[in-house]
Amino acid sequence: MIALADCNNFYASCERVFRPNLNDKPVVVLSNNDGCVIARSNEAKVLGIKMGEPAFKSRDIFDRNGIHVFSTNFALYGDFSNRVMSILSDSVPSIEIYSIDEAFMNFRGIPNQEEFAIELRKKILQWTGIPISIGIAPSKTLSKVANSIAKKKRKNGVCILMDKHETLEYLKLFPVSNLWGVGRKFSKMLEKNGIHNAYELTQKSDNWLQKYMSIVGLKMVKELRGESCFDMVNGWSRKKSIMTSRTFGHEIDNFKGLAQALSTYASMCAAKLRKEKSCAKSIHIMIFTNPFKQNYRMNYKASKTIILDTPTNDGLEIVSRCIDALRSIYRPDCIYKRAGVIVSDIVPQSQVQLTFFHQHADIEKRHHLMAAVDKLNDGFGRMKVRFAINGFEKKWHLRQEKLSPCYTTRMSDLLRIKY
Amino acid sequence: MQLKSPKPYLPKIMAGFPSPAEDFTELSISLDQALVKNPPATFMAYAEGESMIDIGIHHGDIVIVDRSLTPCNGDIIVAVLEGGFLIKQFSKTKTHIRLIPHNSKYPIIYIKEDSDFQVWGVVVHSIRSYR
Repeated sequence: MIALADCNNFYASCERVFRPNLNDKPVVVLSNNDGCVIARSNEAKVLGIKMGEPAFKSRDIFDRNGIHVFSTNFALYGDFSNRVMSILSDSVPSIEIYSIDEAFMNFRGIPNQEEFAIELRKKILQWTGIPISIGIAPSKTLSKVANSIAKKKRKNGVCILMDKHETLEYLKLFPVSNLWGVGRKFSKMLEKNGIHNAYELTQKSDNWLQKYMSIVGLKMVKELRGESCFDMVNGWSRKKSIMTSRTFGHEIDNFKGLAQALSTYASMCAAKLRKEKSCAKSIHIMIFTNPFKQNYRMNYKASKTIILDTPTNDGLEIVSRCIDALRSIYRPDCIYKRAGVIVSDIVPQSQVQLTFFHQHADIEKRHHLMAAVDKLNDGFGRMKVRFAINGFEKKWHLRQEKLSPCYTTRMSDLLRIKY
Repeated sequence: MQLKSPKPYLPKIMAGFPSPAEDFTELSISLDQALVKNPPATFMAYAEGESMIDIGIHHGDIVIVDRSLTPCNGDIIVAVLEGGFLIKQFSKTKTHIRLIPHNSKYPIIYIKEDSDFQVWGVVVHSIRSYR
Protein backbone atom coordinates (compact mmCIF):
# COMPACT_ATOMS: atom_id res chain seq x y z
CA MET A 1 0.00 0.00 0.00
CA ILE A 2 1.04 3.57 -0.69
CA ALA A 3 0.18 6.49 1.59
CA LEU A 4 0.18 10.16 0.73
CA ALA A 5 0.84 12.62 3.55
CA ASP A 6 -0.24 16.15 2.70
CA CYS A 7 -0.02 19.12 5.07
CA ASN A 8 -3.32 20.96 5.56
CA ASN A 9 -3.22 24.57 4.31
CA PHE A 10 0.55 24.28 4.78
CA TYR A 11 1.71 27.92 4.56
CA ALA A 12 -1.16 29.17 6.72
CA SER A 13 -0.47 26.40 9.26
CA CYS A 14 3.24 27.35 9.45
CA GLU A 15 2.31 30.97 10.18
CA ARG A 16 0.07 29.81 13.02
CA VAL A 17 2.65 27.74 14.93
CA PHE A 18 4.20 30.88 16.41
CA ARG A 19 0.94 32.83 16.46
CA PRO A 20 -1.41 30.56 18.42
CA ASN A 21 -3.80 33.50 18.81
CA LEU A 22 -4.63 32.93 15.12
CA ASN A 23 -5.97 29.40 15.59
CA ASP A 24 -9.63 29.45 14.48
CA LYS A 25 -9.07 32.83 12.78
CA PRO A 26 -8.99 33.33 9.01
CA VAL A 27 -5.43 33.49 7.63
CA VAL A 28 -4.25 33.99 4.04
CA VAL A 29 -0.75 33.95 2.57
CA LEU A 30 0.11 36.05 -0.48
CA SER A 31 2.40 35.05 -3.35
CA ASN A 32 5.82 36.56 -3.99
CA ASN A 33 5.50 40.33 -4.21
CA ASP A 34 2.19 40.16 -2.34
CA GLY A 35 0.46 39.58 -5.69
CA CYS A 36 -2.33 37.11 -5.02
CA VAL A 37 -3.67 34.61 -2.49
CA ILE A 38 -1.75 31.30 -2.54
CA ALA A 39 -2.84 29.73 0.75
CA ARG A 40 -5.92 29.96 2.93
CA SER A 41 -6.87 28.61 6.32
CA ASN A 42 -10.21 26.77 6.48
CA GLU A 43 -11.83 29.87 8.01
CA ALA A 44 -10.69 31.97 5.03
CA LYS A 45 -12.08 29.35 2.63
CA VAL A 46 -15.45 29.55 4.37
CA LEU A 47 -15.43 33.33 3.87
CA GLY A 48 -15.23 32.71 0.13
CA ILE A 49 -11.62 33.80 -0.43
CA LYS A 50 -10.46 32.10 -3.63
CA MET A 51 -7.02 30.78 -4.59
CA GLY A 52 -5.22 33.18 -6.92
CA GLU A 53 -7.38 36.15 -6.02
CA PRO A 54 -5.38 39.36 -6.63
CA ALA A 55 -4.52 40.95 -3.28
CA PHE A 56 -5.19 44.54 -4.36
CA LYS A 57 -8.79 43.60 -5.21
CA SER A 58 -9.33 41.86 -1.89
CA ARG A 59 -7.95 44.46 0.54
CA ASP A 60 -11.50 45.50 1.53
CA ILE A 61 -12.69 41.94 2.10
CA PHE A 62 -9.56 41.22 4.17
CA ASP A 63 -10.17 44.26 6.35
CA ARG A 64 -13.89 43.81 6.75
CA ASN A 65 -13.60 40.16 7.84
CA GLY A 66 -10.55 40.57 10.04
CA ILE A 67 -8.51 38.24 7.84
CA HIS A 68 -4.85 38.00 8.86
CA VAL A 69 -2.62 38.48 5.84
CA PHE A 70 0.98 37.26 5.48
CA SER A 71 3.61 37.62 2.77
CA THR A 72 5.27 34.35 1.80
CA ASN A 73 8.06 33.38 4.20
CA PHE A 74 9.75 30.52 2.40
CA ALA A 75 12.56 30.34 4.96
CA LEU A 76 9.93 29.42 7.55
CA TYR A 77 7.94 27.05 5.30
CA GLY A 78 11.12 25.34 4.11
CA ASP A 79 12.23 24.68 7.69
CA PHE A 80 8.84 23.24 8.66
CA SER A 81 8.83 21.13 5.51
CA ASN A 82 12.24 19.67 6.48
CA ARG A 83 10.94 18.87 9.97
CA VAL A 84 7.80 17.12 8.69
CA MET A 85 9.72 15.18 6.01
CA SER A 86 12.39 14.11 8.48
CA ILE A 87 9.78 12.72 10.89
CA LEU A 88 7.99 10.91 8.05
CA SER A 89 11.17 9.36 6.73
CA ASP A 90 12.15 8.14 10.22
CA SER A 91 8.72 6.52 10.62
CA VAL A 92 8.24 4.47 7.42
CA PRO A 93 10.47 2.25 5.23
CA SER A 94 10.83 4.90 2.47
CA ILE A 95 9.34 8.19 1.34
CA GLU A 96 9.24 10.17 -1.88
CA ILE A 97 9.10 13.92 -1.24
CA TYR A 98 6.71 15.14 -3.89
CA SER A 99 6.50 18.83 -3.03
CA ILE A 100 7.15 21.20 -0.13
CA ASP A 101 4.10 19.84 1.71
CA GLU A 102 3.45 16.38 0.25
CA ALA A 103 5.20 13.03 0.42
CA PHE A 104 4.36 9.52 -0.73
CA MET A 105 5.18 6.85 1.84
CA ASN A 106 5.80 3.18 1.29
CA PHE A 107 3.52 1.43 3.76
CA ARG A 108 4.58 -2.09 2.75
CA GLY A 109 4.94 -4.34 5.77
CA ILE A 110 3.22 -2.01 8.20
CA PRO A 111 0.47 -3.77 10.17
CA ASN A 112 -2.73 -1.92 11.22
CA GLN A 113 -2.12 0.78 8.64
CA GLU A 114 -5.05 2.99 9.60
CA GLU A 115 -4.09 2.93 13.28
CA PHE A 116 -0.46 3.60 12.34
CA ALA A 117 -1.42 6.59 10.18
CA ILE A 118 -3.58 8.09 12.91
CA GLU A 119 -0.65 7.88 15.34
CA LEU A 120 1.78 9.31 12.76
CA ARG A 121 -0.55 12.23 12.16
CA LYS A 122 -0.80 12.90 15.92
CA LYS A 123 2.99 12.78 16.21
CA ILE A 124 3.53 15.32 13.41
CA LEU A 125 0.93 17.64 14.92
CA GLN A 126 2.44 17.47 18.40
CA TRP A 127 6.09 17.70 17.34
CA THR A 128 5.76 20.44 14.72
CA GLY A 129 2.31 21.98 15.14
CA ILE A 130 1.48 21.19 11.50
CA PRO A 131 -1.78 19.29 10.82
CA ILE A 132 -1.55 16.72 8.03
CA SER A 133 -3.93 14.35 6.26
CA ILE A 134 -3.01 10.84 5.18
CA GLY A 135 -4.61 8.86 2.35
CA ILE A 136 -3.77 5.16 2.04
CA ALA A 137 -4.50 3.10 -1.09
CA PRO A 138 -3.02 0.48 -3.46
CA SER A 139 -1.73 3.14 -5.93
CA LYS A 140 -0.38 6.70 -5.92
CA THR A 141 -3.38 8.11 -7.81
CA LEU A 142 -5.83 6.46 -5.39
CA SER A 143 -3.80 7.67 -2.41
CA LYS A 144 -4.38 11.21 -3.72
CA VAL A 145 -8.11 10.51 -3.85
CA ALA A 146 -8.01 8.99 -0.34
CA ASN A 147 -6.12 12.01 0.93
CA SER A 148 -8.74 14.37 -0.39
CA ILE A 149 -11.47 12.33 1.34
CA ALA A 150 -9.41 12.35 4.56
CA LYS A 151 -9.15 16.15 4.39
CA LYS A 152 -12.82 16.80 3.79
CA LYS A 153 -14.65 13.99 5.53
CA ARG A 154 -12.53 12.38 8.23
CA LYS A 155 -12.19 13.90 11.67
CA ASN A 156 -9.08 11.83 12.40
CA GLY A 157 -7.47 13.02 9.13
CA VAL A 158 -6.90 9.51 7.76
CA CYS A 159 -8.68 7.63 4.97
CA ILE A 160 -7.83 4.13 3.78
CA LEU A 161 -9.22 2.80 0.48
CA MET A 162 -8.93 -1.00 0.56
CA ASP A 163 -12.30 -2.34 -0.40
CA LYS A 164 -12.89 -2.25 -4.18
CA HIS A 165 -16.63 -1.57 -3.98
CA GLU A 166 -16.23 1.18 -1.44
CA THR A 167 -13.52 2.77 -3.61
CA LEU A 168 -15.80 2.78 -6.66
CA GLU A 169 -18.54 4.49 -4.64
CA TYR A 170 -16.10 7.24 -3.69
CA LEU A 171 -14.91 7.60 -7.28
CA LYS A 172 -18.52 8.25 -8.34
CA LEU A 173 -18.45 11.36 -6.15
CA PHE A 174 -15.01 12.48 -7.31
CA PRO A 175 -14.96 15.08 -10.14
CA VAL A 176 -12.46 14.25 -12.93
CA SER A 177 -11.07 17.79 -12.76
CA ASN A 178 -9.75 17.06 -9.23
CA LEU A 179 -7.83 13.95 -10.31
CA TRP A 180 -4.05 13.89 -10.15
CA GLY A 181 -2.58 15.04 -13.46
CA VAL A 182 -5.88 15.96 -15.10
CA GLY A 183 -5.43 19.59 -16.06
CA ARG A 184 -8.02 22.07 -17.29
CA LYS A 185 -7.54 20.95 -20.89
CA PHE A 186 -8.22 17.26 -20.22
CA SER A 187 -11.13 17.90 -17.88
CA LYS A 188 -12.84 20.03 -20.56
CA MET A 189 -12.35 17.26 -23.12
CA LEU A 190 -13.70 14.66 -20.67
CA GLU A 191 -16.74 16.76 -19.78
CA LYS A 192 -17.47 17.07 -23.51
CA ASN A 193 -17.41 13.28 -23.75
CA GLY A 194 -19.88 13.00 -20.88
CA ILE A 195 -17.30 11.93 -18.29
CA HIS A 196 -17.84 13.89 -15.08
CA ASN A 197 -16.59 11.73 -12.27
CA ALA A 198 -13.63 9.42 -11.75
CA TYR A 199 -15.80 6.29 -11.82
CA GLU A 200 -17.03 7.05 -15.33
CA LEU A 201 -13.41 7.42 -16.42
CA THR A 202 -12.50 3.96 -15.09
CA GLN A 203 -15.26 2.47 -17.29
CA LYS A 204 -13.62 3.68 -20.53
CA SER A 205 -11.68 1.19 -22.64
CA ASP A 206 -7.90 1.18 -22.55
CA ASN A 207 -7.79 1.98 -26.28
CA TRP A 208 -9.98 5.04 -25.82
CA LEU A 209 -7.92 6.26 -22.88
CA GLN A 210 -4.59 5.85 -24.65
CA LYS A 211 -5.94 7.59 -27.76
CA TYR A 212 -7.33 10.63 -25.97
CA MET A 213 -5.19 10.88 -22.84
CA SER A 214 -1.85 9.34 -23.90
CA ILE A 215 -0.08 6.48 -22.16
CA VAL A 216 0.30 8.48 -18.95
CA GLY A 217 -3.46 9.03 -18.81
CA LEU A 218 -4.05 5.31 -19.32
CA LYS A 219 -1.66 4.49 -16.47
CA MET A 220 -3.44 6.98 -14.24
CA VAL A 221 -6.80 5.29 -14.89
CA LYS A 222 -5.28 1.86 -14.29
CA GLU A 223 -4.14 3.23 -10.94
CA LEU A 224 -7.71 4.35 -10.23
CA ARG A 225 -8.77 0.75 -10.87
CA GLY A 226 -6.37 -0.31 -8.14
CA GLU A 227 -3.31 -1.35 -10.15
CA SER A 228 -0.09 0.42 -9.14
CA CYS A 229 1.67 1.85 -12.24
CA PHE A 230 3.71 4.77 -10.92
CA ASP A 231 6.68 3.59 -8.88
CA MET A 232 7.94 5.24 -5.72
CA VAL A 233 11.08 7.29 -6.22
CA ASN A 234 13.40 7.33 -3.23
CA GLY A 235 14.00 10.74 -1.71
CA TRP A 236 13.22 13.75 -3.87
CA SER A 237 11.51 13.26 -7.20
CA ARG A 238 14.09 14.75 -9.58
CA LYS A 239 12.63 17.83 -11.17
CA LYS A 240 12.27 18.09 -14.94
CA SER A 241 12.90 21.80 -14.93
CA ILE A 242 13.68 24.51 -12.41
CA MET A 243 12.29 27.99 -12.75
CA THR A 244 13.12 31.17 -10.88
CA SER A 245 10.97 34.07 -11.96
CA ARG A 246 9.84 37.18 -10.13
CA THR A 247 7.83 40.33 -10.60
CA PHE A 248 10.04 43.23 -9.52
CA GLY A 249 9.18 45.39 -6.52
CA HIS A 250 9.98 48.41 -8.71
CA GLU A 251 10.08 48.47 -12.49
CA ILE A 252 13.45 48.51 -14.24
CA ASP A 253 14.36 50.71 -17.22
CA ASN A 254 18.06 49.94 -17.75
CA PHE A 255 20.19 47.03 -18.87
CA LYS A 256 22.31 46.93 -15.74
CA GLY A 257 19.32 46.56 -13.45
CA LEU A 258 17.76 43.87 -15.59
CA ALA A 259 21.07 42.01 -15.84
CA GLN A 260 21.37 42.09 -12.03
CA ALA A 261 17.92 40.60 -11.56
CA LEU A 262 18.31 37.98 -14.28
CA SER A 263 21.79 36.93 -13.15
CA THR A 264 20.50 36.54 -9.60
CA TYR A 265 17.73 34.22 -10.78
CA ALA A 266 20.29 32.34 -12.90
CA SER A 267 22.58 31.87 -9.87
CA MET A 268 19.61 30.66 -7.83
CA CYS A 269 18.71 28.08 -10.51
CA ALA A 270 22.34 26.93 -10.61
CA ALA A 271 22.46 26.59 -6.83
CA LYS A 272 19.25 24.52 -6.89
CA LEU A 273 20.77 22.25 -9.56
CA ARG A 274 23.87 21.76 -7.42
CA LYS A 275 21.78 20.99 -4.36
CA GLU A 276 20.02 18.22 -6.32
CA LYS A 277 23.32 17.04 -7.82
CA SER A 278 21.88 17.65 -11.28
CA CYS A 279 23.00 19.46 -14.42
CA ALA A 280 20.88 21.20 -17.07
CA LYS A 281 21.39 21.25 -20.81
CA SER A 282 18.94 24.04 -21.72
CA ILE A 283 18.62 27.52 -20.30
CA HIS A 284 15.63 29.68 -21.11
CA ILE A 285 15.40 33.36 -20.20
CA MET A 286 12.32 35.59 -20.30
CA ILE A 287 11.72 39.32 -19.83
CA PHE A 288 8.36 41.13 -19.67
CA THR A 289 7.02 44.66 -19.51
CA ASN A 290 3.83 45.38 -17.57
CA PRO A 291 0.91 44.43 -19.87
CA PHE A 292 -1.67 46.13 -17.64
CA LYS A 293 -0.21 49.61 -17.97
CA GLN A 294 -1.71 51.45 -20.90
CA ASN A 295 0.59 54.43 -21.01
CA TYR A 296 3.63 52.32 -21.61
CA ARG A 297 6.01 53.31 -24.29
CA MET A 298 6.16 49.77 -25.42
CA ASN A 299 4.50 46.53 -24.49
CA TYR A 300 7.17 43.92 -25.00
CA LYS A 301 7.99 40.42 -23.98
CA ALA A 302 10.81 38.27 -25.20
CA SER A 303 12.55 35.04 -24.44
CA LYS A 304 15.51 33.07 -25.62
CA THR A 305 16.64 29.49 -25.23
CA ILE A 306 20.27 28.46 -25.02
CA ILE A 307 21.28 24.85 -25.59
CA LEU A 308 24.59 23.97 -23.99
CA ASP A 309 27.11 21.52 -25.43
CA THR A 310 27.50 19.88 -22.06
CA PRO A 311 24.94 19.95 -19.21
CA THR A 312 26.17 22.10 -16.36
CA ASN A 313 25.35 23.42 -12.90
CA ASP A 314 28.20 25.92 -12.88
CA GLY A 315 26.81 29.28 -11.77
CA LEU A 316 29.48 31.23 -13.67
CA GLU A 317 28.64 29.55 -16.94
CA ILE A 318 24.87 29.74 -16.53
CA VAL A 319 25.01 33.42 -15.55
CA SER A 320 27.30 34.42 -18.41
CA ARG A 321 25.17 32.55 -20.97
CA CYS A 322 22.05 34.26 -19.62
CA ILE A 323 23.64 37.72 -19.90
CA ASP A 324 24.74 37.01 -23.48
CA ALA A 325 21.19 35.96 -24.29
CA LEU A 326 19.77 39.02 -22.55
CA ARG A 327 21.93 41.30 -24.73
CA SER A 328 20.33 39.82 -27.82
CA ILE A 329 16.72 40.41 -26.71
CA TYR A 330 17.03 43.56 -24.58
CA ARG A 331 15.27 46.70 -25.86
CA PRO A 332 16.34 49.97 -24.26
CA ASP A 333 13.01 51.70 -24.95
CA CYS A 334 11.01 49.51 -22.55
CA ILE A 335 10.33 49.43 -18.83
CA TYR A 336 10.49 45.91 -17.43
CA LYS A 337 8.25 44.41 -14.80
CA ARG A 338 9.25 40.76 -14.62
CA ALA A 339 12.02 38.37 -15.63
CA GLY A 340 12.75 34.70 -15.21
CA VAL A 341 15.17 31.88 -15.86
CA ILE A 342 14.22 28.25 -16.52
CA VAL A 343 16.79 25.48 -16.65
CA SER A 344 15.64 22.19 -18.17
CA ASP A 345 16.79 18.93 -19.81
CA ILE A 346 18.04 17.98 -16.39
CA VAL A 347 20.33 14.98 -15.93
CA PRO A 348 22.11 13.61 -12.87
CA GLN A 349 25.54 15.19 -12.39
CA SER A 350 27.11 11.74 -12.46
CA GLN A 351 25.88 11.10 -15.99
CA VAL A 352 27.37 14.21 -17.60
CA GLN A 353 29.72 13.36 -20.46
CA LEU A 354 32.37 15.92 -21.18
CA THR A 355 33.15 16.99 -24.71
CA PHE A 356 36.54 16.64 -26.30
CA PHE A 357 37.38 20.32 -25.78
CA HIS A 358 36.75 20.53 -22.06
CA GLN A 359 39.70 21.29 -19.87
CA HIS A 360 39.26 18.81 -17.06
CA ALA A 361 41.44 20.73 -14.63
CA ASP A 362 39.35 23.86 -15.14
CA ILE A 363 36.12 22.02 -14.54
CA GLU A 364 37.51 20.57 -11.35
CA LYS A 365 38.49 24.05 -10.14
CA ARG A 366 35.09 25.51 -10.96
CA HIS A 367 33.48 22.63 -9.17
CA HIS A 368 35.44 23.42 -6.00
CA LEU A 369 34.66 27.12 -6.35
CA MET A 370 30.90 26.49 -6.59
CA ALA A 371 31.01 24.05 -3.68
CA ALA A 372 32.75 26.73 -1.59
CA VAL A 373 30.16 29.35 -2.60
CA ASP A 374 27.33 26.99 -1.63
CA LYS A 375 28.91 26.22 1.71
CA LEU A 376 29.38 29.91 2.56
CA ASN A 377 25.84 30.75 1.52
CA ASP A 378 24.40 27.85 3.50
CA GLY A 379 26.19 29.19 6.56
CA PHE A 380 25.75 32.92 6.20
CA GLY A 381 22.50 33.26 4.30
CA ARG A 382 21.33 33.07 0.72
CA MET A 383 23.24 35.13 -1.87
CA LYS A 384 25.73 36.43 0.69
CA VAL A 385 28.53 35.39 -1.66
CA ARG A 386 27.55 36.42 -5.18
CA PHE A 387 28.85 37.30 -8.60
CA ALA A 388 29.61 40.99 -9.02
CA ILE A 389 26.99 41.20 -11.75
CA ASN A 390 24.28 40.19 -9.25
CA GLY A 391 24.75 43.65 -7.75
CA PHE A 392 23.69 44.96 -4.37
CA GLU A 393 20.83 47.22 -5.40
CA LYS A 394 17.57 46.02 -4.01
CA LYS A 395 15.22 47.88 -6.33
CA TRP A 396 13.89 44.79 -7.99
CA HIS A 397 13.61 42.85 -4.75
CA LEU A 398 10.31 41.45 -3.60
CA ARG A 399 7.65 43.48 -1.99
CA GLN A 400 6.87 41.68 1.27
CA GLU A 401 4.95 44.00 3.50
CA LYS A 402 3.45 41.41 5.80
CA LEU A 403 6.45 39.16 6.26
CA SER A 404 6.50 37.16 9.49
CA PRO A 405 9.80 36.62 11.36
CA CYS A 406 12.03 33.70 10.27
CA TYR A 407 11.44 32.09 13.67
CA THR A 408 13.41 28.94 12.98
CA THR A 409 16.27 30.06 10.76
CA ARG A 410 17.54 33.39 12.17
CA MET A 411 18.70 34.00 15.74
CA SER A 412 17.49 37.60 15.58
CA ASP A 413 14.01 36.41 14.65
CA LEU A 414 13.50 33.86 17.45
CA LEU A 415 10.13 33.87 19.14
CA ARG A 416 10.14 36.21 22.16
CA ILE A 417 8.05 34.88 25.03
CA LYS A 418 7.05 37.66 27.38
CA TYR A 419 6.16 35.77 30.51
CA MET B 1 19.32 24.05 14.10
CA GLN B 2 21.02 21.43 11.99
CA LEU B 3 19.29 18.25 11.03
CA LYS B 4 22.55 16.65 9.90
CA SER B 5 25.43 15.50 12.08
CA PRO B 6 28.73 17.36 12.05
CA LYS B 7 31.70 16.12 10.05
CA PRO B 8 34.97 15.23 11.76
CA TYR B 9 37.59 17.94 11.61
CA LEU B 10 40.39 16.64 9.39
CA PRO B 11 43.12 19.14 8.58
CA LYS B 12 44.64 18.65 5.13
CA ILE B 13 48.34 17.98 5.38
CA MET B 14 50.19 18.86 2.25
CA ALA B 15 53.70 17.52 3.00
CA GLY B 16 55.95 16.29 5.74
CA PHE B 17 55.08 13.73 8.37
CA PRO B 18 51.50 12.62 8.77
CA SER B 19 49.87 13.81 11.97
CA PRO B 20 50.20 11.22 14.76
CA ALA B 21 46.65 12.15 15.80
CA GLU B 22 45.17 11.16 12.46
CA ASP B 23 44.21 7.63 13.49
CA PHE B 24 42.53 8.88 16.65
CA THR B 25 40.25 11.50 15.15
CA GLU B 26 36.90 11.86 16.86
CA LEU B 27 33.95 14.09 16.11
CA SER B 28 34.27 17.57 17.57
CA ILE B 29 31.78 18.28 20.30
CA SER B 30 28.58 19.62 18.85
CA LEU B 31 26.37 21.81 21.03
CA ASP B 32 23.53 20.96 18.68
CA GLN B 33 23.87 17.28 19.48
CA ALA B 34 24.39 17.84 23.18
CA LEU B 35 21.39 20.11 23.63
CA VAL B 36 18.98 18.91 20.96
CA LYS B 37 17.84 15.31 21.34
CA ASN B 38 15.05 15.50 18.77
CA PRO B 39 15.84 18.12 16.09
CA PRO B 40 12.56 18.08 14.11
CA ALA B 41 10.58 18.73 17.29
CA THR B 42 12.93 21.28 18.88
CA PHE B 43 12.49 25.05 18.76
CA MET B 44 14.28 27.99 20.35
CA ALA B 45 12.90 31.20 21.83
CA TYR B 46 14.01 34.17 23.90
CA ALA B 47 12.56 34.41 27.41
CA GLU B 48 11.54 37.95 28.25
CA GLY B 49 10.38 38.84 31.76
CA GLU B 50 11.11 38.09 35.39
CA SER B 51 8.54 35.58 36.57
CA MET B 52 11.00 32.66 36.58
CA ILE B 53 14.15 34.28 37.99
CA ASP B 54 14.17 32.19 41.19
CA ILE B 55 14.53 29.01 39.13
CA GLY B 56 17.24 30.62 37.00
CA ILE B 57 15.53 31.77 33.83
CA HIS B 58 16.35 35.43 33.30
CA HIS B 59 15.34 38.10 30.86
CA GLY B 60 17.08 37.51 27.52
CA ASP B 61 17.92 33.84 28.07
CA ILE B 62 17.45 31.42 25.19
CA VAL B 63 15.16 28.51 25.98
CA ILE B 64 15.33 25.26 24.04
CA VAL B 65 11.90 23.71 23.74
CA ASP B 66 11.15 20.09 22.84
CA ARG B 67 7.60 19.61 21.60
CA SER B 68 7.82 15.82 21.48
CA LEU B 69 7.91 15.46 25.28
CA THR B 70 4.83 15.00 27.42
CA PRO B 71 5.01 17.36 30.41
CA CYS B 72 5.48 15.84 33.85
CA ASN B 73 4.93 17.51 37.20
CA GLY B 74 7.70 19.99 37.84
CA ASP B 75 8.70 20.45 34.18
CA ILE B 76 9.21 23.97 32.90
CA ILE B 77 6.89 24.40 29.96
CA VAL B 78 5.98 26.83 27.23
CA ALA B 79 2.21 27.13 27.45
CA VAL B 80 -0.38 28.89 25.34
CA LEU B 81 -3.11 30.47 27.44
CA GLU B 82 -5.87 32.43 25.71
CA GLY B 83 -3.66 32.80 22.62
CA GLY B 84 -0.56 34.12 24.44
CA PHE B 85 2.74 32.37 25.25
CA LEU B 86 3.92 31.78 28.83
CA ILE B 87 6.89 30.08 30.48
CA LYS B 88 5.95 28.49 33.81
CA GLN B 89 6.38 25.37 35.89
CA PHE B 90 3.79 22.71 35.19
CA SER B 91 1.86 21.14 38.04
CA LYS B 92 -1.00 18.73 37.62
CA THR B 93 -3.17 17.15 40.31
CA LYS B 94 -6.20 14.91 39.91
CA THR B 95 -8.49 17.90 39.81
CA HIS B 96 -6.64 20.71 38.15
CA ILE B 97 -3.61 22.12 36.35
CA ARG B 98 -1.54 24.97 37.85
CA LEU B 99 1.13 27.12 36.22
CA ILE B 100 3.65 28.12 38.85
CA PRO B 101 5.88 31.20 38.56
CA HIS B 102 9.22 31.40 40.36
CA ASN B 103 9.14 34.97 41.60
CA SER B 104 7.08 35.87 44.66
CA LYS B 105 5.73 38.96 42.88
CA TYR B 106 3.78 36.79 40.46
CA PRO B 107 0.62 34.78 41.22
CA ILE B 108 0.01 31.12 40.51
CA ILE B 109 -2.25 30.61 37.49
CA TYR B 110 -5.05 28.07 37.87
CA ILE B 111 -6.26 26.59 34.60
CA LYS B 112 -10.03 26.45 34.50
CA GLU B 113 -11.87 23.80 32.54
CA ASP B 114 -13.12 26.30 30.02
CA SER B 115 -9.75 28.06 29.56
CA ASP B 116 -8.19 28.07 26.13
CA PHE B 117 -5.05 26.27 27.31
CA GLN B 118 -2.44 24.17 25.55
CA VAL B 119 1.05 22.92 26.33
CA TRP B 120 3.22 24.15 23.43
CA GLY B 121 6.39 22.33 24.47
CA VAL B 122 8.70 21.36 27.32
CA VAL B 123 11.73 23.58 28.11
CA VAL B 124 14.77 21.27 28.20
CA HIS B 125 17.58 23.85 28.50
CA SER B 126 18.02 27.55 29.07
CA ILE B 127 21.12 29.35 27.92
CA ARG B 128 22.43 32.62 29.34
CA SER B 129 25.22 34.68 27.81
CA TYR B 130 27.55 36.57 30.13
CA ARG B 131 29.27 38.78 27.61
